[in-house]
Formats: sequence, structure tokens, C-alpha cells
Amino acid sequence: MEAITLESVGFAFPGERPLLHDVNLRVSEGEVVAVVGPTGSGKSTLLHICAGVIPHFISGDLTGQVGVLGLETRQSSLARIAAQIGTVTQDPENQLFNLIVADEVAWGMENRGWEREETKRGLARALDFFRIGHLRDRITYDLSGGEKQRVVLSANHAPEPRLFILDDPTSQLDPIGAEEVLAGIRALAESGRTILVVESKLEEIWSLVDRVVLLNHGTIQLDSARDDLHRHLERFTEAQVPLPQLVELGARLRGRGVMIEALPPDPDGAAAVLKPVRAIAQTEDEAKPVAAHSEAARVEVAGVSYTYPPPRRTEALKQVELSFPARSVVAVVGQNGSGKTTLARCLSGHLKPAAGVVKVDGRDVHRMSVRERAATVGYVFQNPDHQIFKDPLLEDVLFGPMNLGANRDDALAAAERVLRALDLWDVRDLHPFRLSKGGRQRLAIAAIAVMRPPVLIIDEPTTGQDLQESHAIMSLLADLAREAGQTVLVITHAMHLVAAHCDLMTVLCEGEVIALGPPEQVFREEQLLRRTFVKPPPVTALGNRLGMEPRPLSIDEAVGRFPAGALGVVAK
Amino acid sequence: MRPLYQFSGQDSFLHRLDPRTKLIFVISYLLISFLVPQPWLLFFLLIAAIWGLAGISPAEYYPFLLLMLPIMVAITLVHTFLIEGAPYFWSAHLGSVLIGVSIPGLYTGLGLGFRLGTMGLAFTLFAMTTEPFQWGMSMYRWGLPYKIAFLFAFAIRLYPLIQEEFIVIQRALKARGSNALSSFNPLKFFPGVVTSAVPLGLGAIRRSQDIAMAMELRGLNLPEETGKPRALFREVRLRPVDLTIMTVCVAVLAGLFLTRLLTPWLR
Repeated sequence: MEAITLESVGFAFPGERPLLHDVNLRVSEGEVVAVVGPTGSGKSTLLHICAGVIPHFISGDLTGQVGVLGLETRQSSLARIAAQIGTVTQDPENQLFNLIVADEVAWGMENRGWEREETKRGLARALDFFRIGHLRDRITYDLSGGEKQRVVLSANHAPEPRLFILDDPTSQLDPIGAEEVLAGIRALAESGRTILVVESKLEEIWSLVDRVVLLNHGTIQLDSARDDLHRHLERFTEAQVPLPQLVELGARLRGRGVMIEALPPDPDGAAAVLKPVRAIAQTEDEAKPVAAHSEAARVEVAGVSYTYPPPRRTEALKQVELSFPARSVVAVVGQNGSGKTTLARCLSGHLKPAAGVVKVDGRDVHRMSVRERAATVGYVFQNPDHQIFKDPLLEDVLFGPMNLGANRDDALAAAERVLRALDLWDVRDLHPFRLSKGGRQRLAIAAIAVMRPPVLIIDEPTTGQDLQESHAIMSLLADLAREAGQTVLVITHAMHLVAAHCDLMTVLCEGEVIALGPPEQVFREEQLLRRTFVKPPPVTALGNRLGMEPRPLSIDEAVGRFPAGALGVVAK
Repeated sequence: MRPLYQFSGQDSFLHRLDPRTKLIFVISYLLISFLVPQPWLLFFLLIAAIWGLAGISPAEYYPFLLLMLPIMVAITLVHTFLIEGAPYFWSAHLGSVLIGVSIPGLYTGLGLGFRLGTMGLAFTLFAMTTEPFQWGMSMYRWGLPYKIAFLFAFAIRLYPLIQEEFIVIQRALKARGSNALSSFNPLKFFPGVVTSAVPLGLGAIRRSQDIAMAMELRGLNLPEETGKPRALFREVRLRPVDLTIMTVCVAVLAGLFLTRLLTPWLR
């Protein structure tokens, strides 16, 4: 039986151009189908249509036929459609309504009128399924992101729906949280549930997925069996959607005449395939220039410790010693709770360390006034929506310099430079909330960059952005560092971006620095990085396994290392 | 530090009491504080009760105490200066006007200050020991429509999130060179509040839409749709200890009220 049937489906908000058009999709019961596409391609809209949210909760012009588990969604109520489906979205915070985990998981069963004993059994079953029995009596807002999202999965699973719709459920989680949630999704897939999933980490769910649907410009451009994806590299490249790094590497090598079979997405599997192919050493011209760190240290962190006050009492930083030069982009990585954000807050003066000192250009940050600190250490918070204070966009960018006492003409000139660099000048008269999430993120960076602080700290600048936008933001940060001589610190979980754009990376684990150096060096220490759930990009991990010198940091670097015409094992 | 008025999530005698019992206790306690001439005793008794019966030490809610302190001091000072009557600590004539620090004024001010403090502390006790949904479901049992009871409890559940968001917004303002929210100058402070209300308000609207959608998808309207009534997973019922405490509260309150009405002892 078909779980989902979409025939010639289109959707548009009244008076606007269609978000989706001519979409045809069939998902059989028991299938796992991944939907991929660039930002704005209509992925979430497609999932909303399948979940009945469109047209029942979000109204607009829906055309074509939508069938879900035998219900024609337009004819049925949202409550009846939703009773058949478990829906999980990106932000767990917006999907938890109860205070205690057990109440949260039981709530869906209560709404279905299950008897108390039946609900208790369902609760135990759902908690066991996602291995979160130990969280049963915990308060939901005290949980980590990964735990929260597993509670949401569990709450959706408890009433035993036949279909799961998952909208990028790991996109806002740290590596360990994402790993926990992916394990839950794996368990769902193995239990034979039908799953329609938007997941940016395609390599992580590779083994579960039967088919991949590529959505671009509001329509399905490709519907392919997973194992055939490597044949459609150009479609993915054109849509700016990444294939798993090693799958893409394999496809590109085959395109260059390297005779190998398709590469699997995991470094061990790919290394086994590539072992017989001899990689050549990188030429000096190809080598990525390492930033000139002859620059004097701009940021000095000496013996900094911080413990959160009771009842938390966590020792978040332990005697941290670091220094970062000017004109460099530095990644700060580590799992949630490793001390990244606490370090950033101590650097920016938002937290005062219990011990130690933070200096920028020789001046103690904690002896500065609020204005001096704002002019010295810029801080861009993770959620851009928390940092939008003025309307229109141009006024929001001017807000910081004006607070620092700049005259309006100077501030305008600086704002124009930054907004042009960030491709926002043409929309300067718009309300900031009319921008896309990526646009608002760029605005948040612009609003701080315009104050030209010598140090710029950015917390997760690429969360929720597609590949193209992520690279654009990171390139901009690298330009700022080089042209304006700034030290840019980026807190991130995106290791492929660290590899591609950062001069240095520092790795934190339980409040201590466990590694500091250029990514090419640090990513060699896989064993060490595992302590804080950091994995090198697959292509670098492949380099580690094959002993490539130096380690490739991007697919481009890796491709160039295998000569065209090199012999592999079997070309399929 | 937990945000103020947030459920502490422990397991204790006070946490286990039915919310209705605690509500009646809190109301009785407040009325009693107006009936007895030693409200400071009740204030410190309440701190001891929260510590002893709920396992929550004052260190966990000291921001609340710090917040109350200047208000209590201000009330005391105002009464000390404004209420006339001997004996005086100090007094002076400014022309024909007598300015003095009176001992009766001090006692009246202290009494009012501690009553106010007790009031705040009693609600803190309630909030820190009562799971909002238990409270909501108790109200549901007493006849409040389910959706109102649930959404009321949910609003309390949301409060710490909004408080956390406000802290981030405050930091974001500082990062833009504005210290308005820490200013004692009302001409700076209030525009700062208005500025910070933009991201807070828009964020709340966006969040509420997402949450409303997620609630619908988890079956909030299913009982009305199918006609099958909602069955609560947790038992909500008054135990003998709840009934005993309620009875004692009402009896003590009535006893004190009658004592004050009929005898001179509590005046």
C-alpha cells in the first residue's frame, strides 16, 4: 500500500509565486525516503503538505491530489490525519509542552483517549525504544538538545503512528546529540516504519535510506535509488546540494577516469576501495597557504577558569591557556557542554572568569566599559532573531555604531561597505524579519562587523544554512580577517567548513583545551577528537586512513591527488 | 541559577502535596501574616519550611531575596519618616515642620515590609514546589476546561524560556554598545525595554505559531474530533495528608481571626 501519494501537487501563498509545482511522489509503506534540496527549494512545504498542515493549519492555494495513508488530506481534518503520523521538526524546544518527560510522552496517548494502564505500557515501550528510560522523570528544559529531540521522537512514537515525517531533526544539535537522534531514527527505520525525512547529514542516514528525492526550484528534479545517486553528481552540483563527501569524491574520480567502483560514504569503506589506487603528493602550488602567524598575539587567555553558580555548579573552564593572532579565522569546536560558549562569553566580557585574565591587544577585557568592550570584542549570537532591534535593516546596522558615539555620516559609510559585502545593500529598506534565515544571519554579522572590533566572535554562523550560504558566510569572515586584520573566532560543529576556511582550530573537552593548531594537523588526531565527539570531515578521515601527506581538507584537494587513469580494483 | 519562580524538580514532602493544598496553605499563610503582630517570624519560618520540607536552600533563590530587600527597606524607611509619634530615634524642626525617625513608624514599616516579603516568599514556595501541569490538571479536576487548564500550565512552562531569551537579548544589546537595561536612568532604561521588546515579542509570536502547530499534530483537538474523552495518565487526587493540612490551615485561620475579633491578644 502507498503511504503517501502526491499527484501534480502545487502550492502558493495567495498572490505569491508558487513554492511547489507539479510535484509527483509515491512513498510505499515501509520505505525510507530522504528529501534533499537547497534552502528555499520547498522541502518543509512538501512535508507540511504530507502532514496535512497545509491546507489545515497553513492556508494557501493547494492544487493536485494529496493522499496520506488512505486519507485525502483536503477532505479530512488535521486531527485525524495527524493521528496517523508522527511529525518531528527542527527545534525540539517548540515541540515540548509538558514539564516532565513522562507527561510529554504520554500526552499523545491521553489525547487519543487511551486507558491509564495502556498509556503506562505505551510510555514504557516508547522510552525503551529510544533508550531514554532514565529520563522518565526529568524536567524537559534541563535536558540536552539531543535528549530533548529523542523525547520528541519518543512522544511521537508512543501512539504508534504508521508514518513518520521528520524535518531535519538533527540540524540544531551538537555532534553527540545528532548521533543520539540518528540512532533513534535508525531504530525506527529498522522497525519497518515508513519515514519521509529531510536530513542535511545524508551520509549519517545513508544505510537506512531507500530513495533520495532532490527538490529544486519548487519541483522534484530527481527521484533516485540511493545506490544510483553517484550517477547524478551534476544534478546535485547544479542544485548546490552536497552528496556525502566520499560518494562525491568517488563520482568525481570516476569522472576523471580513475577506475574504481562507487565509494561508500564512510571513510573505512572508501579507504578499502581506494587502497590500490596510489595517491600522489600535493604540489606546493596546490597547498593551502597557512596564515602567517608571525603576527603578534591579539587575544591572550591566561589561566581562565569559570564555574557556574549553584544549583548548576558546573566547572565549565579549567585553567585555559590560549592565544590567537590577528588576521586569522579560528574555529572553536567540541561537544555541547565542553566550554565553547563559556569561553566565548569570557572572551567577550559577558562572563567574568573566577580566575585568570583575558586580554585583547594587551588590555584586560573585564576592565573595559560596556561600550569599550562592544568596540573591542564583537559577539554575534547563535539566533539572529535575538539581535534584531531596529527597522528597517539599515537602521539596525547603524544601531551599534551610533551607540558607540559615531556620527551618522561615518556610520552610514561603514554600514554601506559592510552591507554591500554581505549582499544586503539592495534590501536595506526592508524590515529585517522579511529576510530569509540566512539573510538574517548575515544581518547579525553585519550589525557587529560594522563596529570594526579587532576581535569578532560568532556562535554557529551557519546553523540552518545550505552549503552555498554556509561557504559564503565563512568566506566573508575569512575576508574580514585578512582585509580588516581582525581575529575571527567561530564556534561551530561543521567540520567541513572548519577544514575549508579556518587557519586554526582549538578543541575543547570538559572545559580544557585538548588540541590547538591548523586543521590539517588537528584532524590527524582522530582518537583524541573522539573524546569530544568531533569527527574530521570524511575526506580528511580518508586521508588519515590512506596516509596521504598532507591530509586533504576538501573534495577538490582529494580529487587532485588521484591521477587520471589510475587503476583501481573494479570499475562498475 | 534557576530562573525565579521555576519548579525545582525535587522530590520532597512539599513537592508531593496536591497543588490545591499548597494554594490553600499559601492563602491562609498570607492572611495569617496580616492577623499576627510578628510577621517577621512568619517570614523566617517560611524560609525554614522551604529549606526543611522542600530541600531548597535560600542559596537557590537568593536573587528573589535580593530583589525583595530594597523594596522592604524602602517601605520601612517611608513609614519610619512619615508616621509621627514618640518615641523618636531622632527628630528636628524645619521651621514649623517636624522631621523625625519614629519608633512606631519603624515597627509599622517593618511589619508591612515583612508582610510583603512573606507574600512573595509564599508564592515562591508554591512555584518552586508545584509542577505547573499538576496544578493545571488539578484545576481541570475542579471543573476548568482542559484546554484552558493546559494552556495556563504551558504558559508557566514557557516562562523560563522567555526569561533565558531575555538574558540573551540583554547580552546582544550590550554587544551593540547599549547598556540601557542596566541603567538606573529611566530615560535610558525604558527605551532599552522597548528596544529589547522587538526581538522578544517577534520571537514569542513565531514560537507560539510553531508550538500551536506541534500541539495540533500531537492530537490536542482529537478528543473533540473523535468524541472519545481524554484520559489522564497521572492520578490527581487529594490524599489524607492533603485534607489534614487543608483542615488545619482553615482551622488556624479561623481561630486567629476569632481571637483577634474577640480578644485583645493579637492587637
